[in-house]
Amino acid sequence: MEHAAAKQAVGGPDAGAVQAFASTVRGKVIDPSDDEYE
Amino acid sequence: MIDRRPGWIVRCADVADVISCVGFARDHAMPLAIRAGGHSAPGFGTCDGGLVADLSAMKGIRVDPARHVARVEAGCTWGDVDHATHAFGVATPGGIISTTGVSGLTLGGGFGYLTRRYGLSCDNLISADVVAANGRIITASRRR
Repeated sequence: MEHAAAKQAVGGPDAGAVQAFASTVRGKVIDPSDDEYE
Repeated sequence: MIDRRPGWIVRCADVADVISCVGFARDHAMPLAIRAGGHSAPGFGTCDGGLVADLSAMKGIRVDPARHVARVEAGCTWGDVDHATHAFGVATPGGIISTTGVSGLTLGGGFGYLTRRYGLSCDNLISADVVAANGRIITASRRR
């Protein structure tokens, strides 16, 4: 939850932009606000 | 201690991933933190709400014993470097703790067990491939 709040405060890219970015990366893109990460 | 919550973490596999991270953070005006060894006491290896480029998987090391030169990727710790160079009977001033990252320690100068004889880590740095804020790779050295 804290990760989501921090993300919202910064105002960052939308989910589509993150998905497009993740497709260009050979490593792994992790969203710490995901339940799976916790 | 450090209590920051990044929005995203990218476990970079190579330099191309680092370039992508820099471009993505720049294009979206996000904070970008670089994490290599993860030893930064002030917490420079993380940020609130932004992007963390985690270089800890980039651990390539190539030792040239004839030239007494080692080429080290940004995610290496001094333990990684010592392990690789020890086999050739060579060493360079690293830190005091083996889990400290090479990149961060060298950028900050780098004081270690061999410093009294051979200087700081940064004194022994020949060149560095740096991803600049515009996404270009710069080879920074005395000549370039």
